[in-house]
Amino acid sequence: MHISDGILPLAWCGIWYAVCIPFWMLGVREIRSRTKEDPKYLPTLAMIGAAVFVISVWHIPVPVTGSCSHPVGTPMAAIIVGPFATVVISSIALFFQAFLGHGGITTLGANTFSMGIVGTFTGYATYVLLKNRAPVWLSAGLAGFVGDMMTYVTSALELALGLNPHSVIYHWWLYFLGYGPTQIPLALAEFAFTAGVVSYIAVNRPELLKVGVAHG
Amino acid sequence: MDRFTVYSIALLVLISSAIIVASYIGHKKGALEGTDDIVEDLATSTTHVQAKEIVPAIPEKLEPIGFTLAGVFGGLLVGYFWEDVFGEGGRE
Repeated sequence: MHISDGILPLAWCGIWYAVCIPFWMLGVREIRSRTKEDPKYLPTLAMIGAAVFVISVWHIPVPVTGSCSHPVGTPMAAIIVGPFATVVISSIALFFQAFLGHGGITTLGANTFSMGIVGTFTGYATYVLLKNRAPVWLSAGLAGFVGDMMTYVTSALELALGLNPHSVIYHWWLYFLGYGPTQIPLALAEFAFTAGVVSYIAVNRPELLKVGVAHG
Repeated sequence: MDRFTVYSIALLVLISSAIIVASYIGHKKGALEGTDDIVEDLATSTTHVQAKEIVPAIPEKLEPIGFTLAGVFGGLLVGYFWEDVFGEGGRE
């Protein structure tokens, strides 16, 4: 989902940046208010930000498809620190990843939209919808799976909208076929680690989990 | 050490081991192409756009240093100076 500089037309880069601006503003506001309420929130946020940075740049080989890709980590982050704060830490992670050859600066808005906004909010919504109806591990795991897959569905859409405006649906499907087969096993891995981390925290450090969900 | 710390360290060792094993497999068999590159190749083949390197990417061998610098700058700027930049009235 890391779209490089030069791939998307500049107009579309601007549109994706513009879409991100309100989320960044709300994210900064969320972080400020949470930090005021609980000074421990900031180190937790920093730790989760570091986790998102590593998870979303760690390429895992999928031998069945002969290619590699990475999970996103944003659904897990949203459950723990809140969805708007996750948008901010995703952007920071994506900014630094541009210097490691993943993504770009002009495409930071597009990459933030797919991983930081769609991945975060679809995962978070899945968790919130299921948390009172299913065990924590299942609702968190499904949040991870949905957020992961939706990130790549969105990246494919961004490419199709920017590059093939006359045949968006066909190219959306085509680009997603490039991501999908490798991403499904990794989304299952995202299911496992999101379920594991969130249910472990729910048992051992439930106060950490309340930070994200209670205010969300 | 409490249970949380013990399990966290065990998880750290497990993840590090997985990274080491995956790195070894990659070293022996050659790295697999990333889906980002596959899809971008597909996009460039149909539209003739070309990826450009606006920011200088750190060479692969220097990535650990890059990760460290990113951590230091990210931690200092976003963590330590957060209150100064975004807080009301600066650090108390």
